Amino acid sequence: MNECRKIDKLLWLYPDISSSELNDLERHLNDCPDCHQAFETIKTLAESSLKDQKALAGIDTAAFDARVMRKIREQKAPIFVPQKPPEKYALRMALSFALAATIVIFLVKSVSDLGDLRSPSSTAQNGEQDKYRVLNLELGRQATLPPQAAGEMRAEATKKVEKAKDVPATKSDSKSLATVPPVTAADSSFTLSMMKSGASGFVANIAAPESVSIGDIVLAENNTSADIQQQYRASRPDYFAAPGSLQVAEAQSSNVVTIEKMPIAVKMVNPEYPVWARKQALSGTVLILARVEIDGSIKDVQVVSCDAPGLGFEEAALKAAKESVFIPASANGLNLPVWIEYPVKFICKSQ
Amino acid sequence: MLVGNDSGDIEHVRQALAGDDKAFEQLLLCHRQRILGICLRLLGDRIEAEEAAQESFVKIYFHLKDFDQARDFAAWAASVAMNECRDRLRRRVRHSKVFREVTEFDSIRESDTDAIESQERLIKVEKAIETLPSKLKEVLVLKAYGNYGYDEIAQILKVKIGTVMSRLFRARQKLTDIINKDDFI
Repeated sequence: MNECRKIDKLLWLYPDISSSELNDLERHLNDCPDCHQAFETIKTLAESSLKDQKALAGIDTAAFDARVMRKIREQKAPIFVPQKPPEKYALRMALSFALAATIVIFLVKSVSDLGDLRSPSSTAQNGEQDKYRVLNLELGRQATLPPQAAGEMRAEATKKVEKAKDVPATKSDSKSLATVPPVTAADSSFTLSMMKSGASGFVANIAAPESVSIGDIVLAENNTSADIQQQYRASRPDYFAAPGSLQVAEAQSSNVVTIEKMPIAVKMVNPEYPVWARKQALSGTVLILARVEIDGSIKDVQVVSCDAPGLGFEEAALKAAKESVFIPASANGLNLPVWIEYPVKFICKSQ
Repeated sequence: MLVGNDSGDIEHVRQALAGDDKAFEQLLLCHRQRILGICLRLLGDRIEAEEAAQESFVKIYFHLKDFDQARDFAAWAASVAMNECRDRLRRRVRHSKVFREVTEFDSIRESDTDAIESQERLIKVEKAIETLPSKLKEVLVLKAYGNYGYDEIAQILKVKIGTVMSRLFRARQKLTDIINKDDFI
């Protein structure tokens, strides 16, 4: 058996063996039918290998190399689009801005209420007027005075407001209070004192779910103030707690950050072509939206669109995206998470 | 068959790492045929073998920095290709086998009996390889179709040379047993 093992090694080397080895081999093959059969098998394997090589010689090598290099280029340079605020933070921001917007509405409301609440000569008519106003506020966020005595009430209130506080008030005689004055720090403290003084109708309004809407966000964004910034800072401790991040923090609060360095792909994983789609010669393009974290990894990834859904392209693209690694985006020397969007194309060449 | 020599390979690897894509293309040129050879026999499908080989080279490109330059590049490249083929075979088991293509064999042109017999033997051997356990099949394919040395196979499969030799011996024995069965195929 030991002899057979030795010969087996020689068989694999055949015909690149020395003449003495060849003699040994021939002698052993004549004596040992098992090894003779083994020799036949190995010769057949060599033939099969030669046949494979002939078949592979038919492959267009230039096209093969070009495809490899194209895949490499594609993985090296994915297409980036400008960053979009991540959804998780967008919700927090929306809530913060909605709260800020509610405060603004309070403020406006408080200006018109100032006279009534401060005036010691408030009457039952005033109480009735309050109720009417709260009702209106809940319905349409528009405080209108009752038609009767509206003129004189408004004039009186406006006068008192001007005396008590140096706040720009809406002086026009329009019914709507939608014109929001710029919010200042003094205003917000004033609002707080108003809240303490027991305007429960308005507090209920803060918690009203419909306050979270795009309109509110836009309104609040346009009126960025120290107050909103404070709330925003409180909602983003991960950003604002770090020393040296002040510059970015300021920029963040106005929701505009200029990314100096976009993420650079270090490792882009090529998705597996779904077997079934390949066999059926089906192609497709998946648009991927991925969040590049501050450590360069991708945790959150979504499919934006897929022109051939249900064939496994989305799953393959998502799986590959999650395994990709980037150099994270940065601004002012601080890494930032950004969203990038890139198409993943599955092209079946035999299509 | 083009077989890259070691010193040239290492030089190309260094240049490729420095950002020279032409050097990588040289590596591609030197190792393409061997990698394709083992992929074709392991997967048994020319289109899939081509894809697997391409994918392997892309992986080689992006993981070139992980390559230990003291080692044999040919063996390292083959181990990448081997892993790619294993992945594909695993996926194939998971998915349906309905669309599995059978390797096309050259039609028999010669009419003499010897040629037919040798052709039959060839088909038998190729079918028998398919039936071997994966460990034996891998070592046999690397040796017979990739023409790798024992030490290279040991590096590729991360086993000892003795293991390679014994597996090869068993693989060859098993193969001979299978094709000598009259009712095979």
